This record gives sequence, C-alpha cells and structure tokens, in this order.
Amino acid sequence: MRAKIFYSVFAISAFLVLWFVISGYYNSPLFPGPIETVYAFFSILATQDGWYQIGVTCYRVFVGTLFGSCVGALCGILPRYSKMAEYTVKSVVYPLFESIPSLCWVLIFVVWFGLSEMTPILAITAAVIPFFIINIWEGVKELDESLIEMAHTCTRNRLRILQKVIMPMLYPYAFSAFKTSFEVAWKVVILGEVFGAACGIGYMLWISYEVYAIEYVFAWTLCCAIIIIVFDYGGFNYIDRRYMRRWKR
Amino acid sequence: MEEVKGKEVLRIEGLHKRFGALVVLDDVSFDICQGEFICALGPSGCGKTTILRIIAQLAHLDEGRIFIHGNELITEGYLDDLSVVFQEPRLLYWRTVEENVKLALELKRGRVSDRDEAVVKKALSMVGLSDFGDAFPHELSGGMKQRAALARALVTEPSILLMDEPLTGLDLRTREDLQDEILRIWKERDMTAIFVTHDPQEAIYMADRIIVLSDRPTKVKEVLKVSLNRPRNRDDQRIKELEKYIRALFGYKKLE
Ligand SMILES: Nc1ncnc2c1ncn2[C@@H]1O[C@H](COP(=O)(O)OP(=O)(O)OP(=O)(O)O)[C@@H](O)[C@H]1O
Ligand SMILES: [Mg+2]
Repeated sequence: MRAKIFYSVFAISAFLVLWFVISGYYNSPLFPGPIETVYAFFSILATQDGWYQIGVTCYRVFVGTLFGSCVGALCGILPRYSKMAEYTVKSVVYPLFESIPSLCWVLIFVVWFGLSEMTPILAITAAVIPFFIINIWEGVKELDESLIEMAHTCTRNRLRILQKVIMPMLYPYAFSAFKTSFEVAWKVVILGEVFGAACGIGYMLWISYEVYAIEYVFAWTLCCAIIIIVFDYGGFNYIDRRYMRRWKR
Repeated sequence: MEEVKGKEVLRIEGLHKRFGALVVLDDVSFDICQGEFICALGPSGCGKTTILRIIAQLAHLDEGRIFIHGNELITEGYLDDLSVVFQEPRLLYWRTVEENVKLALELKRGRVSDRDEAVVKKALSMVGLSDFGDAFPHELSGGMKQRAALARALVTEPSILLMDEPLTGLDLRTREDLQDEILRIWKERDMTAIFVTHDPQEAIYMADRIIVLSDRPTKVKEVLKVSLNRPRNRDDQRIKELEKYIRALFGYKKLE
C-alpha cells in the first residue's frame, strides 16, 4: 500500500515536471504549462458560472444515462418474454445503436433539435443503450431459473416475479452497465456540447478554443478528468465494495 | 377395503408425460385425501419431480386429468392453497432468511403488512430458525437451508404441501430430525402432504400411504397403506419388513 502510494506520487510528479519542462521549452501560449493550467482551473472554480457549467454537464450525463438505462434495460429483458421482441432487439435495435458513431447522433440531433438540452442528452442516451442491452442480456442468460420456478409456485403475477426475483439478480449487471456507460457518457457529452449546446463544459471548451485561451481548454479538460476519476474510483468502486456484495453470488 | 381418512382433495387420473421421444409418465393415477400424508416412492429418474411439477402447474401434462376437491377445473385459489419445497432450498441469496420467508407473502399478496411480521416469525420458530432470521443463506448449513425453505412454504399457510425429496443429501441425523419436524408441523397444521422420496425407509416412516412407482415408463406399481400408529419407531420390526417387501418389488435393485 505504502509502495503503491509512493509510486503513484512519483509518476504524477514526473509527469508534471515533464509537462513543465516541455512547455517551458516551447514557451508559447499554445502550450500552457501546469502552473497556467492549474491557475485557470482554480479561476474557473472561483466563479459561480464555472460551477454552473460543470453542473449542467453533470446533469446531462445523469439524465442521458438514466434514459439510456431505461431503454437499454427494457431491450435487454423483453426478449425473455417475447420472441418478437427478441428478434426486434437482436436484429434491429442493438445493431443500430451499436454501429452508429456518437458524432453522427450528435449531428442528427442538432438538425432536429438545434442547440437545445435535448441534443447532448439524447446523444448520450443513444451511445449508452448498447452497453445496457449487452450487460442485461448477459445477466438474463445467467438467471437462476430454479429461483424463478420457485417464485411461480407462489404467484401467477409475472410483474411481481420480475420485481422481486428477476430484477435483483440483474442488479450487478445493471451496475456494471452504469459504470461503463458513465465513462462513455462523459466522452459523448463533450462532443454533444461542442456541437449542439449553448452551455456546459463542452461548450466552454469550444469557446476557449475559439478565443485561443488554450490554458482554459486545458483547465476544462482537467475538470473532466478529475470528475471521471472521482466518480469512478470514489463513487462506483465505493458503491461496488460497500453495497453490491449481497446481489452477487 | 381401506378406511377413508377424509374427503378426497386431489385425484390424478391417467397422467402421461413425454419429453421428446422419452416417455416418462405412462398412465399414473392416484388420489389423496384431506389430511393425508402421501409418499411417492420411486427410483431415480422415474419422474417423481415431474409429477410434482405437474401438480403445481409448473409443467403441462400430455394426457390425463387432475381433480381438485372433485372439480377438474384448476382455479387460482387452488394454487394459493399449495406450497412446494424443492429438492434444493432455492433461497434468494441476496435476502436474509427472514426476508426469504417473507418473499412468499410478498409474491402472493403484493405487499406485506405489520401483522405478517409476526406470521414470518412464527414460521421461523416452527422450523427452529428463530435465531437465524438475519443470516444469509450462504451462512447456513444444508439442513438449515432446507428448514428455511420449509418455513417459506409454510408461511402462506397452505393446506396442501408438496415436498420433492427435501431431505436428500443431508446427513442421517439431520434427516431424521427434519422428518420428525415435518410430521409434527403436518399434524399441527392439519395439512395434506405429498412427499417424494427414493428411500423406502423414509417413506414407510412418514407416510399414511405410499405410492410405489415403477421404472420409466412410469406406472403406479402399488399403493401401500402403512397402518402403523404414530409416532412411529424407526426400529420397529414392521418397518423393516415393509422395507424388505418394497425392495422385493424392485427385485432388490438399489433404489437410489
Ligand atoms: N424439462 C425436461 N426436459 C427433458 N427431459 C426432462 C425434463 N425434465 C425431466 N426430464 C426427464 O424426465 C425424467 C424424469 O425426471 P424427474 O426429474 O421427474 O425424475 P425424478 O424421479 O425426480 O428423479 P430424481 O430422483 O433423480 O430426482 C428424466 O429422465 C429426465 O431426464
Ligand atoms: Mg427429482
């Protein structure tokens, strides 16, 4: 543990030094060093507007992933109940969402919705749907049928069985879908905001780039990286260790 | 003629069941009376589980008829009245023992009331698991898991209890304890019980009547009435004689 921390600190310091040296060597506003970047980063955090932009992007990631999880989970589970749904999902829905690049979705939604809230949110939704479908499929394949049969001796109500027996067996799969989707959503939201929104981190990145404020491009990038790392290591891994154990076999 | 213990609860007539080309049940008929303890005894793979699954409406029959209280119609109420204990405990691994028992009520009614908490506690104490309500299934021994499964079956207060070799795979001591507890609860609750087993001694110790099933394709070989008084003594010479008789039916071939 001690050694691990030491090596991490060492690697990060080495990276910062290298960055510092190279940017110092070029000494150009197009390649800001760590000090300028961190300065810009804190000047973003010092303003209310900075926090607003971050908040807006987080909100879009959240809502987009939520929409995607609903559609994806439904597409993952319906094939269990109907052959028709199975064919539809397997030969149309999944390949559609799986094969279309996120940028194409963004452009299509810009055409349809313009610079609106809908564009980045739906782009995220479209991007994460296949991850939910594939994870839930995996879970559905691994369902313990003997438990479901047992439930059938207690009730005829399939919805109750879905709720109380089937869905809990799928929680670990949904969770790992959320984890992957979150990372994907962050990449897509930036793209969506660059082209199709009038606020948010992606939009600010674009604006900073337009005015050649490269230290702000770096600072907003740093923002994204920090949020992803915090959520991944702090959020998801913590929830995984702390709460997901009981749903796993 | 045997004396009739009570009103007929369940009658099965001419049950046939195939899986593809494999004929499993080939004309199986028997009946069960109110408050009776019936054992279905047969060699491995003869279709004992299949019979129970058909009775519990988990599988379709190819031919044959099932009468409940004299009516052929199987109503929703019939299934409400019936519980199944399977060969394996089939506990939800993410729920504690108490929550597992409660599950039967949640599934049956949609939601549980405060009054049900007491019912759950009572079911747990009935099977001797009062102290293990908060344990998870993986923390229990095999016998305790089967006890929990039994509590889950009992909590809905069924009048018909189907048990599919619930004690197979447990050590002898645990088996005998659980045999006695099942009999005690059956008596207390005045249930009608169908108990599947491949162990003649277990069948004789527990049953009012034994439905002896043949090898596949399965027919009813014989219906044996066990007219020993309860509580029975495992060392009773008559049990040994009956066991000999049953083994002779199978040509002394091992039943297991
Ligand atoms: N769903 C199924 N599909 C195909 N064959 C099946 C199915 N269920 C049961 N069988 C076959 O039917 C026969 C009877 O099975 P069943 O499980 O009812 O036997 P059993 O008497 O309960 O055996 P055991 O004592 O080993 O539990 C077996 O040969 C089995 O292979
Ligand atoms: Mg069986």
